[in-house]
Amino acid sequence: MFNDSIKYFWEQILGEDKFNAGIISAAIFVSAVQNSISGIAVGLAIILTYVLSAFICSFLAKVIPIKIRLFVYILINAIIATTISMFLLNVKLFWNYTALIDYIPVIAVSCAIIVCIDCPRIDKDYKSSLKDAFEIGITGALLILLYGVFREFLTSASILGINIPPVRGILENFHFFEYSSGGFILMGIIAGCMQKIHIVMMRKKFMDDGVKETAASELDN
Amino acid sequence: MQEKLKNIRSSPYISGGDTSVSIMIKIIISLLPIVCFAVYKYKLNAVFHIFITVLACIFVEYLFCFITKKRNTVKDGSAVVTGILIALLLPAYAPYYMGVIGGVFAIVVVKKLCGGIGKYIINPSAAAKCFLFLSFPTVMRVYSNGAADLSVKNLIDGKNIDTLSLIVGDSVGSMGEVCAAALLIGAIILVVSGVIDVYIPASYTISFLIMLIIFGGRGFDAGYIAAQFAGGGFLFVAWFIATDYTTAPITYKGQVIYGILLGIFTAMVRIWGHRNEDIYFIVLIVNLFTPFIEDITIPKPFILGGGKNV
Amino acid sequence: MKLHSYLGGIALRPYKEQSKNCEIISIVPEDDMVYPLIPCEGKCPLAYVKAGDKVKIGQQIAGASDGTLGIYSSVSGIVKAVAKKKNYDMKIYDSIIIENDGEFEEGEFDEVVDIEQLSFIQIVNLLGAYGIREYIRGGFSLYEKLKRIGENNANYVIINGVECEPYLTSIYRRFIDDSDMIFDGVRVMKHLFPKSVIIIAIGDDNKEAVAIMEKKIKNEPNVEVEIIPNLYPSGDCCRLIYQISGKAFENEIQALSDGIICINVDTLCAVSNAVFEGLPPMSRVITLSGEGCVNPGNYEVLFGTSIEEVIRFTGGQNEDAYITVAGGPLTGIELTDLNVPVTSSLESILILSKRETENYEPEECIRCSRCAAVCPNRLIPEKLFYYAKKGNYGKFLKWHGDSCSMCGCCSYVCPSHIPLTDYITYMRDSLGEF
Repeated sequence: MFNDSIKYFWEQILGEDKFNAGIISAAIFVSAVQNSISGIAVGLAIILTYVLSAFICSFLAKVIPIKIRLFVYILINAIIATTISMFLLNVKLFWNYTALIDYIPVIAVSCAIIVCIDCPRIDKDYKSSLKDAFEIGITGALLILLYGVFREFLTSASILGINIPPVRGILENFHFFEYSSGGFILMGIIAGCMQKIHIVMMRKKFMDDGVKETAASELDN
Repeated sequence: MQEKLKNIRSSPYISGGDTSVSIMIKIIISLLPIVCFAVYKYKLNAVFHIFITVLACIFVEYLFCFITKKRNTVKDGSAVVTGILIALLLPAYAPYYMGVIGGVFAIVVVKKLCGGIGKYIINPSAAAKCFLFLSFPTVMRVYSNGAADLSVKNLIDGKNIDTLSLIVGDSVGSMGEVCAAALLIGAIILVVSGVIDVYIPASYTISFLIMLIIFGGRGFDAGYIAAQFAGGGFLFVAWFIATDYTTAPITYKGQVIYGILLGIFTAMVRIWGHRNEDIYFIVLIVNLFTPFIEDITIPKPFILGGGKNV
Repeated sequence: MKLHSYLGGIALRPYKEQSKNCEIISIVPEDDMVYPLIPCEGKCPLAYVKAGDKVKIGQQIAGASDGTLGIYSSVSGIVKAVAKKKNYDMKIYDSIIIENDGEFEEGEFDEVVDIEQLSFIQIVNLLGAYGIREYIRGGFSLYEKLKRIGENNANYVIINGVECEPYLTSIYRRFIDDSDMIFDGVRVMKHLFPKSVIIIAIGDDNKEAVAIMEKKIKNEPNVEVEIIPNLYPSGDCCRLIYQISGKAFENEIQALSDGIICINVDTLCAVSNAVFEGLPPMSRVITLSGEGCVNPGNYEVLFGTSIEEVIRFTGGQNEDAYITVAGGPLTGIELTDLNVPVTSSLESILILSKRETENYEPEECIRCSRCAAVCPNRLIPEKLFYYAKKGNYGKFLKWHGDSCSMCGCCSYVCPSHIPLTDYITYMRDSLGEF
């Protein structure tokens, strides 16, 4: 019974669907990204980390035996993420707006997990792994930037540092989105809206009546 | 499968027992003592709070069902019970739009978007209280007009508390937490009318008691323990919020484990925490364990040895 | 004897006032009679007659290849056809249709041998040839049960006279009107299993039946009358065996290897008729009840009579009639077509009015756990329903869905009126196909 419960627990965390691993990194960036400037910083860190580590790992893929490949990737990722974050901190633009030094190990772990699980072409030559990492990095950074903009709008009624007075009057007493709980709910709202847009786009794509009915009913369920 | 059920009606052909409306009516009757006490103590504030919150909950649920073109679920009465519970968790001097915002959050975000009745994962009333507490911290902490302190704060600071005032209702807190006597009467009505089983409140109370005796720092001090039970919303949570049907485990062994977990966490929060409202966050955390608890306490069927009296 | 009690079960209102005090009346049929050839445990009876043959009462018209599962005509007439017809459980069987000529000519019956000269094997073969089955829905054949338990191997012979379902009163009336026949059946059982204890189980709301049986068996050794508290599934064989002996079995056949055999009262009467009078089983007593029928009561009906004729003979339906149910109200089947025959597994016909049986729309499950409190098998029907809806066979078996005895207690108490028993039965049936 104990073995079963442990197995069940890990199944719930990592999931049979590999996208559940992203929940850990989501937890991390919810606390890191409080406004859009830190969103830009985290996004840039992510892009640079992914690209560089994918580049290096693709060279090592042929040399290292399969069983320890995952651990080596994570190690390389961690080193690169740490150096990049420390490098970014020295850039003067980000000094006043971020506390990124607290989140270095966080970004390192999240990048490591995402790259190792989501990057399918890392074992081939360096060009395709670079392309892969760049795609993931850019989409991730854009999403984080979008999230940061929304969160800043809801907490301090400003976008990228520019204040909007009328909204500030309404939101003055509403402190929910400053906390991490509000951050998670905002992430859920954004994910829900994107899913709805995805469904509408899929519906428009299947213009044939028969296919439309079945696809629509499947998506509704 | 659906065809087979639609063409011919299936057994049983007589029905008995409760319907969901009668269960909700029994719950509302058991909440009446504390509602009456709140009206007696806070006069018109309480009346307006309860009225506005219940109306907001019913209206929002009806609107949601109308917009998403699904079956109307206001009829089973759960919106009314959620509304009354949210209203009883508000401080009496909070502005009236708190009830509306709390009701909208509880019904739409927690209940409907997580699957509707029977499928949501955290308790809507406790979640609404936590949401309001985090979003509007200044107005949700105004529990009294004067300078009296919350009982839990006093207990933590180490001052002496008059337990009798907590029982009779002379204390300070949100509207549902002040009078321990009215809550006990409501709890008796709940058990006698057969709405809940006593496994969860009993195991909650016993594990809380044991944790307080071991870790409380004051040993068997009867006054301290009685004050911990009677004040700070413990009775309200144990009998009305933790026993919510959907979020509590469905097996009896699971209910005992759930109560023990609640007791351990509540004791930790009361001894080493610093806020009165932490107990509602604890309820949300332990609610998330429920599917796991159910999967590890599958009961043994009759032929394999379960369920026999000696 | 001290009874073991079990958790679960529901206390139902008996609803037996309408037909409790009605004496048993015989029904004389006029229309065609239909005899479905229902297979039992892998063997299927084959018709011995064809269209155009003349039959008399008591003539064997069907039987299996090894001499068991005999079917006997209950009227005299000419065979109309052997065709496929629908039975009341909505399955289609080959059936023999006989046109009743109203004269009721008796054929030749077997001669009656004194019971002391018959051995165990001879009695068992006789009961097998007469095709006597348990007179309940889904009943096993008596020949199989007696053959499996073997000679002199029984510790308990339990005679099941507990009618725990509401509206049913036919067994109660049999205790009062036909108590001699029941006592003869007890004598047969004593001859078959001399060393065992024979227990007659009667429900505790049938006090007159208890008094009559106790008077009859006053001086017999090894025969007892037990009064069983009338909680709903107490009359189920497995529940009854547990209450008397303390051992839990999955079905009756498993209990045979432990020396416990469970026989229904109607089956016992058929056994005594077969052994002492040489008559094959040709009729049974059913209950007609409910607010929608004009003359409720207990009627002795010949096998093969159509249900429509039974209702017509007794006065028909009145304007309150809403649905017609074959069997008890908790485990029965609704009849849409009344042209189905009475067989040995039909216990009662209920014509219910709208006031007694409201048709509710099922709502969503609120996880109130009332079904778990009431299940006599200690299962959690809410979980089984959840996995049945998703079609998850693995989890359904992990929560022990295959031990459900389909008693209907969970659907009775559900506040949202969900047909839980149906979902679980559907999953079990589709599992049985694997």
